[in-house]
Amino acid sequence: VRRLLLALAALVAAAVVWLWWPPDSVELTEPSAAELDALAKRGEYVYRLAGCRGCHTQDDGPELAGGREVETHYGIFRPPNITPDVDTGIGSWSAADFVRALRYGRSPDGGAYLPAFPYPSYSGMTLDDMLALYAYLRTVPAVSQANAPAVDTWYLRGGLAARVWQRAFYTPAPEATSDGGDDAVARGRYIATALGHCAECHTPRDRHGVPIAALGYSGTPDGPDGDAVPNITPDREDGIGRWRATALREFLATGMKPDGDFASGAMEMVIENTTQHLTREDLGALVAYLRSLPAVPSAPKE
Amino acid sequence: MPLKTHRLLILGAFVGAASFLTAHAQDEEPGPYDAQIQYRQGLMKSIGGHVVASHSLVTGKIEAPGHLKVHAAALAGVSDNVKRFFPKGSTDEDSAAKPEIWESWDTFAKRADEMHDAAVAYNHTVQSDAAMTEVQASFKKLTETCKACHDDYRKKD
Repeated sequence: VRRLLLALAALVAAAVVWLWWPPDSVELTEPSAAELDALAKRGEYVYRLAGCRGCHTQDDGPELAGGREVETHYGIFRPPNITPDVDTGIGSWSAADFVRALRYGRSPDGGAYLPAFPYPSYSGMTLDDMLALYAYLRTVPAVSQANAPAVDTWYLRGGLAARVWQRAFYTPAPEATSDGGDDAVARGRYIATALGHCAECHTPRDRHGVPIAALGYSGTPDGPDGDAVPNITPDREDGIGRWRATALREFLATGMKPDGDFASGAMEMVIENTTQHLTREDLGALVAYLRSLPAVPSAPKE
Repeated sequence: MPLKTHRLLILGAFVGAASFLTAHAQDEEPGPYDAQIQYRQGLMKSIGGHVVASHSLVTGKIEAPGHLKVHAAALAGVSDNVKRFFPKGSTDEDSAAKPEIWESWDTFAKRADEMHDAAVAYNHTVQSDAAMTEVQASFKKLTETCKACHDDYRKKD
């Protein structure tokens, strides 16, 4: 019995170490207020492209104060208040706290976030863009609005499930040294992955909630809010292989599809919050990247 | 002609006639709303076509003198009383019409009428040679009314 207890204790200790070490903290020199002021303007563009507003703002609710219900088949998620309110928002966060959240999916006290917060995508942002985004978010109006419970699924509450998920399935993207620059496809990839987090909805996930890389962007029948998410690979039958570059640009800028219909649901929100704000060059880059993807047929309907 | 060949021909004729009759017997009767659904789908496609073409013109990407007026008149014309093409229950697995249309008919009918009103207003703006900014604003209003119905009453792909 004593041996059994010892073995059990060793197992628990190993699990604790596995889950809590390393702490995935971030060390950086905090930017000065003047530096942040200078970054905020560019940060607004990063903010648009990162699409924070869509999830962090309730319909007709105060900007970025959280609370919108995002229905997924893992449960209903309620993204938090990310305004600079000190008590209910992220007003007390340092730049290092913010970078830690985007890179490691950790809160300032070390708690793990569920990947409904798309840090697996955001972790690919350059440090410059993360700091610019931090700088911009400090400038939006602070709203005092307490956060609702982050998720309604019992086994996902409390942070342990998120911690286990991170240790088992999550590796941050390699530290980005470039935002793609003048290379259209590279810039488009950066916009689609690190900022726009397109794959979070458009790529099917396995049973652990991990996006299946080989099926990248091939759509899912059960995306957020129960809507089907279309295949956006260049597959000519299932995807956007027959869409001209002009049609893709039109769609991302205005929501109009080649058949004269308009985007609805989550994509309408993405167009409103993000893609209609892309510069002409970035819009072209995003289209070039999408057209460079391997064509993947959609999974057959069950 | 040898006797054997005759027999084969007669047998062939019987087999042919039998398979013809069987094939006809198996032909599916058209559903009660097939014609409605087919017309409706053609109508929606034609409206979509006028919208796409008009978009190229109102955004100045394409110049085609006279075309915008023709598209606008068509949109106003064929959007009249669209709801009449949605008799109760007229949907199936190949139709994009959601059953919610008939569950909240009044809202659906109101939105369909608003689409026509917006098309008429847009047509008026175009035919009166209004400034392009006015035409663009009116066109945007029209496309929003299309979307208002599709969001709730059209099946997603």
